[in-house]
Amino acid sequence: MLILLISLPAWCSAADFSQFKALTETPDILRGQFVQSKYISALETELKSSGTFAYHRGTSIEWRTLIPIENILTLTPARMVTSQGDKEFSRLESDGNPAVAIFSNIFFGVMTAEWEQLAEYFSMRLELDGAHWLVTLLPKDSTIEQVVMKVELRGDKWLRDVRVYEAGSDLTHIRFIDLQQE
Amino acid sequence: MLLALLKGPVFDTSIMALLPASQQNPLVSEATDRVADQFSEQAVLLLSAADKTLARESVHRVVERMNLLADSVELTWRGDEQAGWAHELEQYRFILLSDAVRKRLLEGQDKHQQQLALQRIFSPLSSVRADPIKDPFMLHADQIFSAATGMPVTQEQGLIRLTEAEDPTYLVTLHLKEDPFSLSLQQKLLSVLEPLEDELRMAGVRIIRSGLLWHAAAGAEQAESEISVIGIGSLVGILLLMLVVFKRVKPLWMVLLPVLVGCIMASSVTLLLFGRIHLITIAFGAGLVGVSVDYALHYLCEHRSRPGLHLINALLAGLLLSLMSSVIAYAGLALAPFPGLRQMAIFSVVGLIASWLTVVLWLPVLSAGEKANPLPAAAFLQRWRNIYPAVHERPQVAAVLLAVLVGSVVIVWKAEPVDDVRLLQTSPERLLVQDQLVQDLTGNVTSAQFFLVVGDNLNQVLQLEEALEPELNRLIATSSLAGYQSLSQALPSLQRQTENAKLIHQLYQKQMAEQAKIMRLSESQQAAAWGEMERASEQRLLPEEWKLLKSGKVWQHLIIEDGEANAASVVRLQGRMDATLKAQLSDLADQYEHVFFIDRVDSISAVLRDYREQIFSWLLVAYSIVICVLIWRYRANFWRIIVPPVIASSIAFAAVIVLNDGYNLFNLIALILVLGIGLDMGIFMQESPHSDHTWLAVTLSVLTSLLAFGLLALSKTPVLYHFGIIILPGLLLVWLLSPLMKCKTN
Repeated sequence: MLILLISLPAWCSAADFSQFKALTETPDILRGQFVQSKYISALETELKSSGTFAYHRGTSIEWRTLIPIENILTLTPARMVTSQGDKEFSRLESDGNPAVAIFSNIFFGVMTAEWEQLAEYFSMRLELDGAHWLVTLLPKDSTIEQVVMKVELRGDKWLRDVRVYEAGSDLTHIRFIDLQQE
Repeated sequence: MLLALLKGPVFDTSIMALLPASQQNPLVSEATDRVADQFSEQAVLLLSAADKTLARESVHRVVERMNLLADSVELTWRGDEQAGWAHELEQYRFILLSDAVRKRLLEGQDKHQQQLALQRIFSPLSSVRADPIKDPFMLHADQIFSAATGMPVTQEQGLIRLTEAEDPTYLVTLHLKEDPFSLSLQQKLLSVLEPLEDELRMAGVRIIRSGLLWHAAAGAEQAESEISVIGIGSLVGILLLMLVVFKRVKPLWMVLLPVLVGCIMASSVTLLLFGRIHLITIAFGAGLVGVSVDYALHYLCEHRSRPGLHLINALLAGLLLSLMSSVIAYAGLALAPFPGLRQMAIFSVVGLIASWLTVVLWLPVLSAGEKANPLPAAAFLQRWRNIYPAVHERPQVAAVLLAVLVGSVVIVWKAEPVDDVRLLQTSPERLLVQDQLVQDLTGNVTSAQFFLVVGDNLNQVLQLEEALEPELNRLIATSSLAGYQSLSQALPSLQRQTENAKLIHQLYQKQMAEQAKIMRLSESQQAAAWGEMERASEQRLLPEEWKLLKSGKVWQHLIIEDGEANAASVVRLQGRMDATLKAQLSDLADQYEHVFFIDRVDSISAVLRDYREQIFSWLLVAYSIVICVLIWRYRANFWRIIVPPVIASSIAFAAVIVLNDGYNLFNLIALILVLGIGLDMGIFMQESPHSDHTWLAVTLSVLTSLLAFGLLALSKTPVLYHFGIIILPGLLLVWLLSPLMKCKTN
């Protein structure tokens, strides 16, 4: 459960994320729905989407967008597959493709608040406010900066809210609802 | 002589320097040299530990220490540099399409590309900033995700990590700015690396090495120690022998003088002619000591029984014949266009002539005034010789010899020649094991086999490579070929770029409307997107521009030539090369006029085979010439001189064939030496058949030659071992057989 001891922001080094581990529960299987709003600065518009997701710890993430388009992104440590129904559009292997591996690891880390994974790529700052916490992630090197400039994770018992800031003021805001663990 | 010494000794340890220049098509030999250079200029270090932080720290430590050698070595260890490169390609996103995108569009699945683009745009995380006007179908994202390194690596905390290894393992590549065979470079690197390795090993970090540099260093170390052993061993042995027989010190100097003069002259002339001396020549030449000693020995021994200034005249005929026979034998080596053998030949011939001249001109002067002083050793040996049966007295002996000869000839006839390139190189087992490990972990890119693609210009070459692609892909699916690296993977031909632009046009025509709707683009935004695509897809990426890109630099080593009338590139192959695969690849190359399958291992073996055949012919020719000369001088008795070398060679040869399961080029060269040295014995015995001092001289000369050359049989360097293993038994047998040939006595 929660350990309410620290209410001051504290920068954390890679080895020191034990306090992070205490923040959230880490179920083996977690399902739920997401609502996403993406601001694209090139168009000066917001694109909204929603769908479901299913997460199997350490094995896979299935990100299923339902509105306004239908497709499924399945991530495993070995590959990234995009499909629609039973039609596969794209299969990218992380073996030999550093970009795929990095993307996949960051996705896993951010969407499931896998602190150890995140500590590889980001320096993390924690702010506590009662039962709620905010973790700010800043990239450790320039390769990661190309994927994200800053990530804010918010939650309580589980991760509830993700804000991804990309280069050039693009911002993606995701809220998780109806979370169920198994 | 001074000239040469002033230039300074330049020692060559490269095994490849022993090989002749290629007589093939100049493009083929240039491609082969380039690929070989690329391979030899790189050395690899893998740093591995159970704990990844420890492994990473060790990489930083290695890099820090290696920075001290920045003028000899450049390091590649950063994994995050590639990230910037993909963005250079953004402007070419419509003409440089990944295989996956091409396939999709060629198969008419434009809808899939659109869906994929949408998935990327709506994805919470993406590697590319979504810009639906510049790139509504997220083609740049495809470029980034398909930028393959060809190696199973990933980037981690700025370092290059190997994905196939169990423990966290990071890669550091050293790019050598000097020749890996340069002894000074090897020493510099090892002096930094070895203490570092010890430190890291204590901390639990494993360092795995791969690359020609380490083999070269091991080879040089081995050669140096062997030269010391052989050189010093033979010198010490000879000195002891001299002392035992002559019991005084003066003869020692008189023996050493010609040897010294011979060696110095040999080294100088070789340096002047070749610019550098190969360590193997020196090791071989160390054996020269044993041969050039012969003339001095002979003179000294005779002098004991017949002192006087005019002795030299009596001996001149014999000495001259002996010199000629040795020179003929060694000169045979110079015929082969092996630079290495030519060096050995010149070194030996010059050395022999120099020491011969010293004996003929100086020794009589130096030993003038000495009285007759027979040596007890001579008497001792003479007694022993008298026990020997002569061939003409006991026909049984002749019969036995004949039988043995026939048996040996049969073995030789049925023997298998070995032309393996491994004859030329020996490396300690641990290096070979490490090499294989690194190969397995880095994707098995071979440098021994590759395709050479030629054309009038680079674009033609690229087109030909593109035509080859489907066939190579088919082989990947059906054989042990694991992958390939070709220029066209990074730089499509102009025709393909045009084709790609057309495919993108089609994509926009079919899917743009729908895409715009989903992303709620206004009319003007749509028009802007179209305009952007039209403009950008008119571009063509030319080789000159491509070469300036950072992503281009990594692939540039595949370009062999890019000239006005001629262009060529290599396609590197990955996978385990067995005979079936090589045959398949060779067949594939045969289908195209301008594609060649090059197998360096094969071509080196072919070279060895050619020269083996040539040396064999020379062996027969040398024997014939010698026999003619002997008949001219000795008439009917010529057989007494030639028979011992013939029988000894056959027996030694047969024995080695049985022992090593086959024979090789170097065994044949050694047989020439046995002939040359063995003849000396016979000639001297014929010249003065009853003199016991002659027999002493001959015996001493055999013993010194055995000490010099026989020690080579202990060498771990294959070339030297194969010399020694023939010469040792060969000379011994000649010595044992010579007394059998004595003439009728009264």
